[in-house]
Amino acid sequence: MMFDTAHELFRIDTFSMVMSALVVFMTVAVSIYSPGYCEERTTFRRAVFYGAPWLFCLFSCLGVVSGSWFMFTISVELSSLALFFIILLQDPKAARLYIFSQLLGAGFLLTGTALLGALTGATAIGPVPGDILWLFLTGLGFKAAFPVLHFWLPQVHGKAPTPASALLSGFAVKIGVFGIARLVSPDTGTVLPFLGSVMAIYGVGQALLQHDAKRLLAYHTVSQLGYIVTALGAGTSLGIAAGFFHTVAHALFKGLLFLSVGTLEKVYGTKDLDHLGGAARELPLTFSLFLVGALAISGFPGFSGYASKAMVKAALYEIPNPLWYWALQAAGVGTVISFCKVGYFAFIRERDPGLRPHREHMPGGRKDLMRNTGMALPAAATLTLGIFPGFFAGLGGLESNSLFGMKDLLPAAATFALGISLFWILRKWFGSGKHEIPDIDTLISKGSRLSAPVFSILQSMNCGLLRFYIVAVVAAGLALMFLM
Amino acid sequence: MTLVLAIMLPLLSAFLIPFFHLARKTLSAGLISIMGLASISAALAAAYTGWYSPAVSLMGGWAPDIGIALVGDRLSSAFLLLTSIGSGAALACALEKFGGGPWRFYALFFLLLGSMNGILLTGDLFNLFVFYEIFSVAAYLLVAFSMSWQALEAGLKYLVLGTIGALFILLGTAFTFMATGVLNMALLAEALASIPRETLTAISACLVLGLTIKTGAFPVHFWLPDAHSSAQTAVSALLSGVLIKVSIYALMRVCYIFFLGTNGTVFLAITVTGSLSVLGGHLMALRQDDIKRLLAYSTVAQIGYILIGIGCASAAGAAAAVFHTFNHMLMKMGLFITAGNLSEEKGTREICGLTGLWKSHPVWVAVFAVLSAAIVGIPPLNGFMSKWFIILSSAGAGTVIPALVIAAGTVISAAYYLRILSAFISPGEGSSSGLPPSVPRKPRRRSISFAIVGSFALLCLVLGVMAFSPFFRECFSSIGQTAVDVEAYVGLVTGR
Repeated sequence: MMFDTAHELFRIDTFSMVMSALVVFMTVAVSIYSPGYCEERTTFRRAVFYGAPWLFCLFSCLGVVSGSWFMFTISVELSSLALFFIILLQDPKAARLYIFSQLLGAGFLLTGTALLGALTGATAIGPVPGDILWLFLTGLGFKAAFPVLHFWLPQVHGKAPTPASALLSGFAVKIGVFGIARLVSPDTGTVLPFLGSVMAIYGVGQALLQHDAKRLLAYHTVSQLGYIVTALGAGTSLGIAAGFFHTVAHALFKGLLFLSVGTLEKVYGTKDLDHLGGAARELPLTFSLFLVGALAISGFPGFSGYASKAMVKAALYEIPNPLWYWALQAAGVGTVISFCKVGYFAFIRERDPGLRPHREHMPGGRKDLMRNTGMALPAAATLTLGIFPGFFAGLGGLESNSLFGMKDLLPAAATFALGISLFWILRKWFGSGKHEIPDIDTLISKGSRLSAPVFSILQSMNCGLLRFYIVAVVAAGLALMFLM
Repeated sequence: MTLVLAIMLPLLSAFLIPFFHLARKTLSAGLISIMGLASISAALAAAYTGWYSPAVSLMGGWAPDIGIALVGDRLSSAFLLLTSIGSGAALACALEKFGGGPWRFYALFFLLLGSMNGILLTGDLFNLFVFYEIFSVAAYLLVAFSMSWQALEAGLKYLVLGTIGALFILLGTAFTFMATGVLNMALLAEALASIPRETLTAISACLVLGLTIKTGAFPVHFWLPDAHSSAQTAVSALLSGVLIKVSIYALMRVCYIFFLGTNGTVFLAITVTGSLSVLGGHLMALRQDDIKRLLAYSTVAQIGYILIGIGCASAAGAAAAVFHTFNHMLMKMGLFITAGNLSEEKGTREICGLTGLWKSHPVWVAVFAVLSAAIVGIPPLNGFMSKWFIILSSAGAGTVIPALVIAAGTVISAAYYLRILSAFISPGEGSSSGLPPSVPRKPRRRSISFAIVGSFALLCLVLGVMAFSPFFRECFSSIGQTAVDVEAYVGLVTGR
């Protein structure tokens, strides 16, 4: 009963093939980009910097093709461990937060798997009975940044080295989504759209208030994951296909956006939107690649984000509740505003006069070439998927032409018009000072003070006084006697 | 006969060592090694016998109801193998460090070895208590052996609390004898089914509490951190790796034989104690600055995992508990020996002082990293596999809370082992200020210790991967089957 052999070791279908292809593609792009970013001195650290992404790639591939929840959990845990080492190079605190959250998620998943085995006698990957669903959703929720469980995401994405951020947003969180897609059953129909809409709105709301560019992108990851989770919650085959399409599209354009912010970080030495500016003139190629990513995430027709969001909305027409649809529309407006903000403050307006670009990272050098080549790959893929979405549309049983109908183009145009005009009205406010409101991660670090009484009780229990110990032991014996 | 030899040979060695000392004034390390090898081979022979043909040996030919029976079955064989590996490793480390010098140390060591084998083989409740007393006295003295104030205090605390534990075991034994008139465990398994409910409650509370105190589980763990951290490296490793496991065996044997069919609450109590132990041990370990104390509290937590496995009251749970017992022996002995050697090199046991070791002792730090990854539960190392089996069997028993407690414990233990590792890897103040290190000392060669911890770390990986093979799982589930199969045990002893 320890391992059942009733299921196949691997489960390979279109979705796992697409996911494997995606992670290999992202790792290649990141590996090309890395020489333009890496400034590690020793051979050992460089080996970690270049080797860990491939280790991550290996274990992620194992995770998406595994046939049981047990193998899935192990592979996912090992892939997190690979990313942990690369984050450790830059920020040990963020790395620790990352690995603790992932270990906790894996613990929930393992518990769920064990109960699944006890209830049904098999742990094959797939839908689970309703009464242990919460364990799986919680476990995967740590990966896929469900509300409250997303506490690690902004901090880790913000502090990690850029190649790791791109892989985190590009693929690590998607493994959680992949697991949720495997779970989809009628039981998930009510909880997932609700969680997804909350994530979409909350993520974009927090993103608007950020001034650290990578943290802003991290909140957009939460928001875009909300789209995916809502689509999966529709529960239909169209919903699942739409979720997958947006997963792939988001991996590509969010990876691209993180890499472009990484370039700004290297050239100007900061990723703070209060100081950046004017990069469009100095880094025209980076700016155009950024533009591809920004237009895609905002859903501009012709880019992958438009097609995938159109498919998500097509899936939402099929379920009766219109609330989820409007929540995603509102999040779409927020996304437009937010990327107008990044584009304007980082690339267009005059920058802080004290900020000087580093010469070795300027265009013409080898580093800039490597970075732009690495970014060109996801940009090309984003454009290709935007113009020819036929493959993914076909998975959901749609014609690719149906995604470019008036009922999708008009809302997209309206979203853009509303978003750009709102940004123009609010741009002074965005430019003035900080507006962040504390998220769950600051609450958690404050809340850790609440654990002090627990520790003081434990500390006073181990006071070193023999007479106290004797009393405690005898009391334990009496308690045992009465309770039995 | 092999069963008797496993007890007699170490006891004989313990008896002879003082005479050799008297006759020759010096004791050669070779002689000790020969005695150790003989004792360990006897234990291994007993384990082999017990594994392939479960055996009963009646002392003096008396029938089981009046005499003492020694019983070797698969459960005792597994534990005999464990104590042989563990005490062999500890003896080798001690020989490397002390040579043949301290004869008292070795006399106590062999006394301990003999009484451990006695506990593992006896089939008589009162005989179990007697061996427990020998075992405890030797253990108290070994803890206090370095004669520093710290060690004496730890030894005294261990003595007082251990005696209270022994008192409860004795009370339980006396109640049992008064209620049934027999002391043989197999006969008791049948007799206990027909005694009044209240008497059974009193017996089970006394026996469980006494044995739990000896295992060092959380609410009654007070002696453990002091004892394990104050002793010398080899003794700490022996205490955490082996001695605790003998108490685990006694708890398993007594609870499964006596209470499996009669008093299910015992197992609930064990599960609760185990869960508390996991949380309490890990949380206390998180707050420690002394590396050996931290490892000692980590032992409290790991005992909790084993208790959760035992508390499942199923063959799968027992098998998982035995597997984790094995793994914990490997991991914790390795960690104690590594930590002990590194802190002796640096002259401090404070974690914040153990810096710069990655530069000076890279292989030791690498071994420590593997062992701590195993104990935290990183797949596919053995610690992960045994925790997974424990989670599986506790889910099979229909509860989810112990599994979630284990998940939380994993995160906390990751936190404190990462703290130690980051201290080891950080450059340290000596190299940055240009001053010579505070303890200028030629690094000692510890090749035997290193061979031991290195092979333990390798075994952690091998056992983790082996856990996927059906043959290996067969072995462990047969141990679990033996543990819970009371009828087979009774049949083996009574010959029916």
